[in-house]
Amino acid sequence: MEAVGISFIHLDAGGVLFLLLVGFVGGMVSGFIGSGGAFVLTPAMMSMGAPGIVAVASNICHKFPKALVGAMKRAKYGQVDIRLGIVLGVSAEAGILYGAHLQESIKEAFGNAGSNLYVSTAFVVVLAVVGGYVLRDAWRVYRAGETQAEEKVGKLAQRVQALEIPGTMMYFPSIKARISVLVTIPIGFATGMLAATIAVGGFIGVPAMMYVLGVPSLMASATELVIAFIMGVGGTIKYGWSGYVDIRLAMIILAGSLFGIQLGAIGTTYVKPYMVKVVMGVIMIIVLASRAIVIPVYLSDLALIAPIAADTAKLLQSVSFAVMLAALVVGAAIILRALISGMRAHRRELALEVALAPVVPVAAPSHLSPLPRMDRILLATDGSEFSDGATTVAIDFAQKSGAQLTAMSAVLLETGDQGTGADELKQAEAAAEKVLQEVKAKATRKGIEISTVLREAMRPAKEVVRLADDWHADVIVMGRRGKRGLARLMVGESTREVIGYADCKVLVVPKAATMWSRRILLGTDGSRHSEMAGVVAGEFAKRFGLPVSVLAVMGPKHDEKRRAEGREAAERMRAALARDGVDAEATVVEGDPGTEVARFAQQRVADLIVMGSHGRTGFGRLLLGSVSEKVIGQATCPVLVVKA
Amino acid sequence: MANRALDAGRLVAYGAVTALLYALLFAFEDRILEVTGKGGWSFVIPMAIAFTLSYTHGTFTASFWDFLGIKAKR
Repeated sequence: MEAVGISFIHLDAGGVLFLLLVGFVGGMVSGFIGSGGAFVLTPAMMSMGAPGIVAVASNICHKFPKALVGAMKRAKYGQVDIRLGIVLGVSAEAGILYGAHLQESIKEAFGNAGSNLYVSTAFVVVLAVVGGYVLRDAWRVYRAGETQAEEKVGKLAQRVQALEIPGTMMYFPSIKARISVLVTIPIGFATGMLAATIAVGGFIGVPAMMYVLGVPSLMASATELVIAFIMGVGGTIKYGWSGYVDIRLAMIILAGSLFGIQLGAIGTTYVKPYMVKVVMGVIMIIVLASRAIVIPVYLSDLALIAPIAADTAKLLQSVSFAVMLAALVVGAAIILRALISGMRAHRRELALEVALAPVVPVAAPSHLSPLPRMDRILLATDGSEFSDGATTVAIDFAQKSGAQLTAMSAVLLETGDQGTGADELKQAEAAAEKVLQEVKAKATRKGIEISTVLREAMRPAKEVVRLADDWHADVIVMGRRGKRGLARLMVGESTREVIGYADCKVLVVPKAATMWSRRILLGTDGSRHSEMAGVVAGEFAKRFGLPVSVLAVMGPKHDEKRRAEGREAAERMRAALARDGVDAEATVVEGDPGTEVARFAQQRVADLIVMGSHGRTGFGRLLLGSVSEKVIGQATCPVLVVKA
Repeated sequence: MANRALDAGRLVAYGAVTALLYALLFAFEDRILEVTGKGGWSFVIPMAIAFTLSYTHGTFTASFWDFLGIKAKR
């Protein structure tokens, strides 16, 4: 390997401080919109005397650790679709290589001015089209008064999601749908190309995820950090291999940007999703102005217009750089403002909750209303041994509650290149029909009327949820996969998906479990979801004449304040149940919540566990929350998951 | 109260380690730049430095905002 012999600049205190500051502001923007904080850094380093290639290399080297920290932070908030990030990131690498190659070819053919003109034109065109669209969309949301509403999936994204190209389909949790990777590849490629050209791939990547794939804006901006990490690692290896990385410059910027990225990521938890569009659109339009200012200089260099005086050219370039800095500062100011007002509003809400909370534990979470309905039970069975318990419990449940019962099964359609053959399909349908007939016979023996539904599905879980919606089911009853050891602790993918997507309650039944007849265990953490679970537990207790044990579990990390809140929540719930005429007790124990709920159920001989779920979907394990997942995995009795 | 002390301890510990790593980086800057400037497999040095500092400094900055009460909305 030949030594490149690059000269690295001397750093003074002023330069270091400048980079720290720009790094901080850029980090904040990146943490919030997933990208867009780095484009000022290359010219900033160059203005300090760093050769262009060293500035680019050092910028990329600070980007990947920054993106890593940001992605991990936002993954904690459940905003990252890692699978989508990796798929897009890999094609973005190809885009970077091609973009860099194109850049070199242009430089070779038209010199520096030609290259600069190409970069500036790319800036102006992409930012005008995409930035204009993003900003217009944000404005539309604001004007329509839909800032609080859930984001809608656009028509283009709906068409893309409906596109079915066999052998190329992949499920992405952020969109809760399968999308052909043939659609994601060009998006990743364009993101990489833009990153190689203007150092901010996210100006294509984030809007494309939002408008083409239908990813919610907060998730799109968080997922962009995964793409940025992958592109950053690739870029650092490429430039590091040639010896261009000035690690001092990179780490100084990183020092500032890690403060910023944490703040930007925290900010996303307080704002409405459309704010991502506002910040991104505003930055893009201001940067567009910054680049447009210098285009005449490059046109003049290429003799395409009348020559511009050297002083004028210098002035235009300085103004352009200042406007670029302004773009970042304005973006950061919007984020800070949104963060501060979001935090204030949150504090007011908390204060209000405290003010409205009962002073003594006897007052309670209202009158346990609205009353949960239990008129329609949907049993989802796959005919395996894991569905045995669910079938038994669903029939007994319908018998004792007088609810209508429907049993459904789904024939799995294979999604590979060959698809499912006609013969295979017939066989599978016959087998599923047989399962349903067995369930019907079992129900009929107990005097229960039952309807059966057989569906074909590529994702049975989605079909279960769809039928539950169509039929207005009040509760879905299903089994739990997993046999022993570690596998037992893991909830099956279908069960997890059903709980994630269903709007109604989901009763997960281990294969050997039977109908409850002794005691209900209500797990609570004082949240809104727990309160809803309390309402349902109370209704079950009254309907089946069972006592309820309210359990709050405190972990070693909980401080005294949190413990007091836990005790109070359990006591409040107990009092509320008691007022409704339910025999209730409250207990607070120490330990891991997932394990302790299951253990306590065994100790108190509780044969039904009721707990709340945040109701989020997607994101792998975060789908259920680790506590719900552990409880379902370890419980030996049915677990009723109540959505708030 | 105990938790706050624990948070402060964590903040100071990660801050100190990060400061030490930065001090080492600048104490040996000439030597490091000489090696990394040669290119080739020496690219692992900036990568390793970046990963290490992203961990220590990343934890420090997270604790920093946390300590100031600027936390994510739960």
